[in-house]
Amino acid sequence: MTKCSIVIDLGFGDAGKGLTTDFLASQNPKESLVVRFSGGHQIGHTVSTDALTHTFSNFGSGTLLGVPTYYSEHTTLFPPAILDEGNFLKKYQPKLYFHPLAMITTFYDIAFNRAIEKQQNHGSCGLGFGTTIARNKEEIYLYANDLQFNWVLKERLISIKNYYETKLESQSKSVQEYYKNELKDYNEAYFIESCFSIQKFYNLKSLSELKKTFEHFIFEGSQGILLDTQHGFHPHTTWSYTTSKNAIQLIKMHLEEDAEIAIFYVTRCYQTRHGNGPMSKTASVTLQNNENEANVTNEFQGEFRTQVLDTELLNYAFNSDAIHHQDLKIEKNLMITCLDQLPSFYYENLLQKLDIKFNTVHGSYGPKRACISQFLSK
Amino acid sequence: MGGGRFSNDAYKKLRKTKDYSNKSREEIFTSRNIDAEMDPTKALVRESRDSEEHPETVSIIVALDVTGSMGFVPEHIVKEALPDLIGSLMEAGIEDPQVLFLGIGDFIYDAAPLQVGQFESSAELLDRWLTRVYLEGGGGGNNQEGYNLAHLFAARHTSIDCWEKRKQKGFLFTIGDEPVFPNIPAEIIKRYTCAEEAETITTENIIKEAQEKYNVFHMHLEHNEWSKREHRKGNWKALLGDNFIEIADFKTVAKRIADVVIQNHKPFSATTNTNTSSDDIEVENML
Repeated sequence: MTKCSIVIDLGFGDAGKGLTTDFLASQNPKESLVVRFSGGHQIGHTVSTDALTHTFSNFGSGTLLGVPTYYSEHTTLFPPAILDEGNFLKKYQPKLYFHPLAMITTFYDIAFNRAIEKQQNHGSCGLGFGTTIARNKEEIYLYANDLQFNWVLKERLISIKNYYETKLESQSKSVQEYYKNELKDYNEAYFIESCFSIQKFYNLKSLSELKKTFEHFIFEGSQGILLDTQHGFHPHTTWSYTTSKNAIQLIKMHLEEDAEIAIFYVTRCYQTRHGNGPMSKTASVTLQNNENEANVTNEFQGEFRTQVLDTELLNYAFNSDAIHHQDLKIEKNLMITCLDQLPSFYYENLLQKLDIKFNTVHGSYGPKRACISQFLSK
Repeated sequence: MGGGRFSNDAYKKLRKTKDYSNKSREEIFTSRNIDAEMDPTKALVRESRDSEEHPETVSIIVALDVTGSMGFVPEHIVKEALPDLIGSLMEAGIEDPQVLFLGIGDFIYDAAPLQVGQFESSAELLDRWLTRVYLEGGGGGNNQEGYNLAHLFAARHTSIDCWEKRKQKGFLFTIGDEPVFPNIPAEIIKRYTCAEEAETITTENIIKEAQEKYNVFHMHLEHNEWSKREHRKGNWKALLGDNFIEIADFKTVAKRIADVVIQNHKPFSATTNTNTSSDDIEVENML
């Protein structure tokens, strides 16, 4: 029996996808695989255990439980960061599978992203995720599959470098200067090194090849539905389908026959917004107990804001996600996080205003999976 | 959401790689350095001597590939398998084994392509070197490693009583999952040993040189699909014949070393001892 759980953030990100993924992975870690189906190396999903609090960007949130991660063709990978994070997590023997067509982010993608972001302030993380996707759309490729071939890799990098030099010609002087300055002390040999050094962490596979190896496929989403390319608010959107769209497609293509599918929608018990961009007008919240907030205001993303939940937006998110469910029978669950930070919140009041009947509702009162309790089940 | 520390830091480090053009990538990615006591440039000669406590020593060099291609294997071997090696040898009937541990990196890419311990007779003392070897976790993407540095060190920078007094050859085991570079360039010899003058030497010839006083073996670990491929085994077979050993389960490597030593160690009989030289043999620097 193949079980698929999809973890989706209902808002603008930061709701607790790491925690939820870790919680799902803990049910049967030996037979589980975490699947990344959107976003890439720019994410920051935090998992806490007694031993460690770690914010994942290049490994899935099941890693601390020994659960491997599969990166689909919709995701990006940044080899030097994989190397560093993999070495940091060495104790946990982190293991990755890459779809051969997973997209590789290069130094140039990030440098260009940062140069442009300085001008625009869309709330990007400045890690070249969007620029990598844009480059792929223009058919200038570098794939996970290419990393095994030294000469191929070098040539592909030359193409990418030239592609950005051409793009820069139509940019302002200040963007050109900024980009040039980012590249001033860059030596490509080290990037190439990291591409080969990460061989110890990964194998190239298609999801179909892993169907028989695992029983529980946990699809770890990225960002949130309100940042989705199709359903978010341009220009403050990510270059990725953050609904369950890609996950559903992957399931249909590789796992369907007898898969049981459940979606775990995640929201904090208040609204959050990281970065520039609109946030609907609701009352402000006074939080307690949030000194360990993993999200900090940063140079590229802008400030981190919090307000009371907006039920209209939650319903919009459910509604947008449902468009992509095709003809599949899907069980829906809700995970409400950070309950310890807002004592005035009552989940019953929220459920009354939501258009969906949930199979289960869970709530978490802290950063660890042990802090999760179940409120409702069928 | 977003802006994970590792992705940010990795990019920041790459931004500065020009400053490091004289350093290895390993120094950039992990900025760790070789332990001064294991620095081969400071090791004139490593001696393996008989004593009252250990009257008939058998000198055994274990040179382990500690580069990235090996993943977590070196760590397992260093932490789990080798600490028991001396015990296994004694159990197998070698009464006075002396083990020298070498860490092998990649001399094109790594900060510490060779790290040398000392010949030790006890598990505790050996363990000291095992725990100090820093796991490079680097290695280049060139499908070759500098195993021949172990042959070089054994041939020119060790002095062993089992050979010098009793004409019993010591044992040299290189352990890894890749082919060996075809030669050692002169500049590498000068950079990583105490030799001030050197000529480039082929791997074939440096192995011959090491074979004068050691039985030379290579153990190829088939720890993943990649390492089972023929091109990862290179020309070891041609270089070493039956002394090229493929090991399916790396956890058995210490036991295999003990087996090989038992099978090949020739008992000493005083009548065959033609060695008349005194103990203060000068190690010839055959350069």
